[in-house]
Amino acid sequence: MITYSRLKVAHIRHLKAGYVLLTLLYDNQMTPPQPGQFFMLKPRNTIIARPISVHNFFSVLKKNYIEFLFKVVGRGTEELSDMKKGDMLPVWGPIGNSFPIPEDKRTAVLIAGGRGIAPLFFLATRLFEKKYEIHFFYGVKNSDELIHLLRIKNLSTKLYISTEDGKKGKKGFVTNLFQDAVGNYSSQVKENLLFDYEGKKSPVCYVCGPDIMIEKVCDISLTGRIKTYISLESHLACGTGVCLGCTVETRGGRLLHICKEGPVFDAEEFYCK
Amino acid sequence: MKELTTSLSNLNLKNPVMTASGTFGFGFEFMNFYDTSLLGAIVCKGISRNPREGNRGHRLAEINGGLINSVGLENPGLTDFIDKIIPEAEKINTTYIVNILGSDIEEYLYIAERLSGLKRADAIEVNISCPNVKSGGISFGKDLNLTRELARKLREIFPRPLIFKVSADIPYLEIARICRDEGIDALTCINTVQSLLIDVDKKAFRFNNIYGGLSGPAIKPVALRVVYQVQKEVGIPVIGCGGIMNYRDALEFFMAGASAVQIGTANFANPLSAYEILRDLSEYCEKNNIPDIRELRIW
Repeated sequence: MITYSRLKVAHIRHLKAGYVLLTLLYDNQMTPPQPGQFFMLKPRNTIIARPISVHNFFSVLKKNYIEFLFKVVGRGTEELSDMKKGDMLPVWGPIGNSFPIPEDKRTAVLIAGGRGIAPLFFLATRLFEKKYEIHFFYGVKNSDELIHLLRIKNLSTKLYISTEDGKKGKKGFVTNLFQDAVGNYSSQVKENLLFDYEGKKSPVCYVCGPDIMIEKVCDISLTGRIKTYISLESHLACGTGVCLGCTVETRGGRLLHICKEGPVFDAEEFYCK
Repeated sequence: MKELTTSLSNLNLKNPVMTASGTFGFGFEFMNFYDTSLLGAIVCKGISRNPREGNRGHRLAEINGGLINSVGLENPGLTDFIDKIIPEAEKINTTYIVNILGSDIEEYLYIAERLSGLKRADAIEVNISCPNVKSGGISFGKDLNLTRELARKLREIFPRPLIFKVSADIPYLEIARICRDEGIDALTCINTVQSLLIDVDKKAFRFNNIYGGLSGPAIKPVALRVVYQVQKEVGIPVIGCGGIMNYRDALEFFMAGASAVQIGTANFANPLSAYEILRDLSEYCEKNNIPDIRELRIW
């Protein structure tokens, strides 16, 4: 259920490359968020709030905290980045659907590009708790954008890093990395890693990042007939389903709303192989 | 909370704070936030005869002091509205006003006729900013003869209060006179202001539809002008709308001559806005011993 509250800033960290990690003390009257869901965060001086996906949700000493990771890209995020410990921030959520997690313990392949890491990190923590095997692909432009590397490494069975500047991991795009890995997996079909068309061990992919990256990843994963979920974004005014501003167009030409039908979608709605 | 009843011709409201069409869904979406029955009236999303998918591409842009939308009147259509939404809306215990739109006079009349048999449609608010297909896409409000015909025929069909919603982009004073003469109960002033936005990097119009409608604080002075002029020149009761973000903004509209107000974009900034404005307004009237909101008028 979406509810409104004013949450206290417990901690704010300015990371490299304009990323900000905002930790708020959660209001336990609110519904706990699931990976993939987002909140509207209202900066004081903007007209409308900003949709930001949940990056983490955890408890310390019987208190619940919610964490948002965002990059400063405009007026709204800039103002949010200026918040200080103890400030109160109006928020409402949790909004939208969440990443479906299959009942069987199949391998989860997470592919994040840039700030697409935000919701996938939260998903990884949940998959880890449920003892899923996690193959994490994480690509950024500049190596200083890599966030939480050590924690992600601890959550992942396998971690693949790509940077466009080549200073960490493999130089290039995460899509190339994913393509190569899928190629390797294909030759290891017998190990049931990725391509087992017969059995139940076909993995599930979760993708979040720039549109062009999502498209390329889906091209690869859907070719391999891998169930793929993508998280999309759009401009949004209300988060409550009434402004009707947040539409995305499916490959069949249907208009879906990020806040109602999304933000997580079955990739086949948008891309096809 | 202090009683703040108001009336606009035959439209009687328990208080003067309403929601603006297109910013509050059908009213029940906000029940998680507060009991929307507290409001003076709820004006629902505009309804057309058939479902409308709305515009493709970008639909929203925030600018300094305002919000531009190019949603394109997306709505489920009259049949789904009657079958699925009205039963839900029955739970809301306040005046329920159905905003309607049409691409020709027949569409408006068809909708009004079907709504006339529905008790839940306490009143109709008519959006006359829609392009009229039969006059080459020019909005209804720009054609005075057409507006007169629409007002007259709707008045014949619909027995309960009728409100016309005007924008500052049409000859609103002439329309106000027509509405007054044809027995329309009130005018909502104003709809969004037609706007245009350009993406400099892409060297392109921001919206597929080129134009969008500007709302929010940026249009408040324009809205106040229209409210004042319509009230002074014509005298038909006015519902003020445009950039009201708090109770002091609402007070400006009452001082300019409005008998009620609609809260629009503020519902996006804070889902509790309409409720908070009502609460603060009520407190103000109590403190300043104002028995009737219409006494706030400063001229």
